[in-house]
Amino acid sequence: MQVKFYKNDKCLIAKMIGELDHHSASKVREKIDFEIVSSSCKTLILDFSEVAFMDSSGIGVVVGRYKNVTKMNGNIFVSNVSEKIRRIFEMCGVFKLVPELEKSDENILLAGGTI
Amino acid sequence: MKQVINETTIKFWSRSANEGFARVTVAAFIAQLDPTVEEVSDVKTAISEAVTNAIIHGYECRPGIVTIKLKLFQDGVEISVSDKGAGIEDVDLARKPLYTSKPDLERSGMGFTVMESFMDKMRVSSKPRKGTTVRMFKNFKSIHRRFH
Repeated sequence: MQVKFYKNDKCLIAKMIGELDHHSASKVREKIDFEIVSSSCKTLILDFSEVAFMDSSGIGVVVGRYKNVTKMNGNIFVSNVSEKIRRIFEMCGVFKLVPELEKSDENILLAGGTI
Repeated sequence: MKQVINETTIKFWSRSANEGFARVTVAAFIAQLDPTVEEVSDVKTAISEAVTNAIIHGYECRPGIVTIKLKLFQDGVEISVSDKGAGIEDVDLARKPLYTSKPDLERSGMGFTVMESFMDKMRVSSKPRKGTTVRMFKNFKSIHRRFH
């Protein structure tokens, strides 16, 4: 799985591309955590638009990043979650910790604004 | 007794790279029943959970063989995923949502819950130090709609 990063001074978007399972999760974790530390952004957005498959390993990736980001007083969101992936997140209440970002809000953040 | 119309067994090393291999192989085999895209996706998710469990809990990331047996019936597929690894001391506890024996690995403890919810039946048999077998059945409702 590939991870592409887009950032401005306020937010970091991690766009995951491919299949998110136990095999790919450790690399994804490593790449995102490295970017969180090396950028000074306070907001992390995990973009699921290009995630073709995800099992419960994805829950660990999201909740793990939530823990890391909140430790640094940052915010975290997920975006572009498909119905299949939403079903897995909803099973254990991921959205209570990590809210879903509307497309319009994502655009505002990307443009350097605040929501 | 329901009639088995096709059967296969897949064996592979307990390497995490084989999680994707298991998903696509199972999807290719069940395709002959012509299930819907959603039904294939449900089975792939359940397979991924079962194989991941075998690798990280059964074999604790050490070398071993994971076996998947598939039986096709007119109306669905029966799948068993087995390992000859550590086994589970308390199956009822392991099946509880959010329970994980490996929180350090960022595991969510949702594997069995996902399997149960994406498949129609699930049974776990396990013996400590002997191994674990997860048996699942998925009914392809799309097939009923076509014939009735």
